[in-house]
Amino acid sequence: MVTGKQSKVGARIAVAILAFFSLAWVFPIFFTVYESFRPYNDTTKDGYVSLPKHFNFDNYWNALIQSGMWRYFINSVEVAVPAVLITLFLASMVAFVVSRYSFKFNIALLMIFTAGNLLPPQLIFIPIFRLYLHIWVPTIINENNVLYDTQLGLILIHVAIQIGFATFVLSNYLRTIPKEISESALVDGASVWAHYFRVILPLLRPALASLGVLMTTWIYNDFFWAVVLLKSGSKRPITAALSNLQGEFFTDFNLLAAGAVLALLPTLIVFFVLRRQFVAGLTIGSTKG
Amino acid sequence: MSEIFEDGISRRSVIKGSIAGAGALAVGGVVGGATEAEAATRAKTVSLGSNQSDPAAVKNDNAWLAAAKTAGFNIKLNRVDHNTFQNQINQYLQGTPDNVFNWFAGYRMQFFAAKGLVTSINDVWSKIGSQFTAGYKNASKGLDGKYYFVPTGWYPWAVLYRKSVFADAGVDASKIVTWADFIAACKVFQAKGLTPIAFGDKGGWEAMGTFDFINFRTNGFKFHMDLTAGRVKWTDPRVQKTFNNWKSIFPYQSKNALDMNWDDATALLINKKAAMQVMGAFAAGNFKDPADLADLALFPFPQIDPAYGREAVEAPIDGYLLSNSASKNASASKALAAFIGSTAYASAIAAVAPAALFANSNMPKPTNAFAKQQVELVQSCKYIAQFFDRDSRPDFASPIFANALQKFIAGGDSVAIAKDLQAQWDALPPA
Repeated sequence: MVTGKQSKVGARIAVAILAFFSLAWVFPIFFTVYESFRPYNDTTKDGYVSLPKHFNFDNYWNALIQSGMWRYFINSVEVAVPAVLITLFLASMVAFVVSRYSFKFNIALLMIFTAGNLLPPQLIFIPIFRLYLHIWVPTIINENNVLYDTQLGLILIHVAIQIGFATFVLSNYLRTIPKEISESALVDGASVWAHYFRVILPLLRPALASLGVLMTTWIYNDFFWAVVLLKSGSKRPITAALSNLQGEFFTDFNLLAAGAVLALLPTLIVFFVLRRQFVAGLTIGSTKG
Repeated sequence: MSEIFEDGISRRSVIKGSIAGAGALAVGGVVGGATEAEAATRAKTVSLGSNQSDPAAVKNDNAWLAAAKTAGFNIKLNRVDHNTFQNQINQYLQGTPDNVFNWFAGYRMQFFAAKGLVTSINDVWSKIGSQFTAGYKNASKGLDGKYYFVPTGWYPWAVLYRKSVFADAGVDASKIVTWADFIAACKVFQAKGLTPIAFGDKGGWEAMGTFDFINFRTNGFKFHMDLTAGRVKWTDPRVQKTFNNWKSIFPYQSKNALDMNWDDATALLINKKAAMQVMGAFAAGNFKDPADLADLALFPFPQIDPAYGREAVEAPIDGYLLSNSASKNASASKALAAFIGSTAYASAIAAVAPAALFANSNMPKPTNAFAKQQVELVQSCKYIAQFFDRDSRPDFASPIFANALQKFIAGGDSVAIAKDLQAQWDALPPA
């Protein structure tokens, strides 16, 4: 039996371990933030582990305005917003069909969508790169007339990658909602479209909100596809553009730290403001009603 | 949805399209002279891939781009940071590359020429050839003997030091000629509590400079070039001679080399905690204080085997190549290549970067003391190497050789490392 004293000791040990690990997690971020406020010359003279002589926002100003980082934030938004909306729209349709209609390929369809999610991007990027070089797009999107090196291409790949997980989550969520609602809609004579738009979509709203928040941060954080599928430096999203702050020989790590903090901010803001949706997005559909 | 979709991705291209449309309308209105002028601009429209991402390099880039604009070029610039550009070069060249792009001389250029991914420019060289010495001409050719490359600038590698530190220790840099002189100097600095040779190899490439020097000082330039190109095996006993010579200066190098980048090591030099560094002259850019910069000097890497003296130096050449896409825009791309090879290009950069060194022999000699030393160093040498990662296969240098050197620096067995290197070279796909 566990006595009160023992459990107290146990709790203390647990707190100590937790404190240690959270410090280990948080330390690099605090260190980055700390260096981002210090000028390059101070850290070259005294080393990174030293007390500050100057402490200012110069690095932030340089990163955001002089290096033009703000433009890449816009690029990120231009990719993430349409990608999330399209993903949610298409995934909700698939989820609707696989959870409300039973037909032969029902499970198989869901499995295929989910399995596609498991392929590591490193494995499929060469074929996708080759494909993108052969897919024609009008000159108005890309003057080279191929999907490679377009933001459209980046959006499509995110949709393709994320749709599996989104479908999985949304269909699980729909299964928790009583089928009787759907049945009464059908009894009232709703068509498939009306059923989807007027019954299912409103029911999905909380799930869509949570999933939307989660996917926005995932797509925003993507680095790999942006580097692989874009050639033009000016089209890059913020994650890939961060390396613009590095030179061939010379890297100002303080400036880079400021850039990294800036790139991190939207994710942190989303997390803290929409924390409830964020957590809900991670656990949604995991309990079956 | 589709509305947001449209709005999200193609807003800019739509605007671009409508501007182009308006332009076409305007041109349609004034037939004759205007269309001719427009055709002329279009004839000189070139896309340019730049990997110049250092602040100083961006400044140089902007200077010559402005000059090119004055010369009538309409350049569509695509700037990508240096490391990403390098790592993505294979995809870049097989995708939709810009017409003209930044690259290096040496095997790293010949590799892509042999694969047919770049365009040969013999006709450009017939125009600019008289402005370059034989060394540059040879460095600009592919293995097939055709010209591919337009050289622009260069920088040498050497032993960098601070004059004041040497004066304090009573060491005369001009007297350091042989390997024994070098080690004797190291001992003096060590006795004074300084790190004799600041050395960082966290990035993996930094140590290649030291390897190259010791290798061609020990075994001669020809052996070095044969080794980097795979014509001699790594298991050759001469490779061990190089590694053993290197080991003899291990006691004088920074102990924590794998924790430091080259610029961390340079910081030791700046702060007078170390006496010397085997580094590219670009390190001068980190000497922000003008007084420190004036104190910076260099001497040639010491001789090891008197048979080879100090006849060779590492002096990588930077420049431009024409990709395959240039064949569709040949006249404009080649005109730009010729412009880059001219003094108009070099003078524009010289105006903003007085210490820059140019490949074009019609450029006036630099007046800056450190720049002068660099020119003298290279002129005193019979052979010029491009640096290991430019002289060897790209897929060998950075992933395989860099790791091997880090293992060696960490105290690994050089025989096993050499054996391993040969095995990995043999496992590479045919180039």
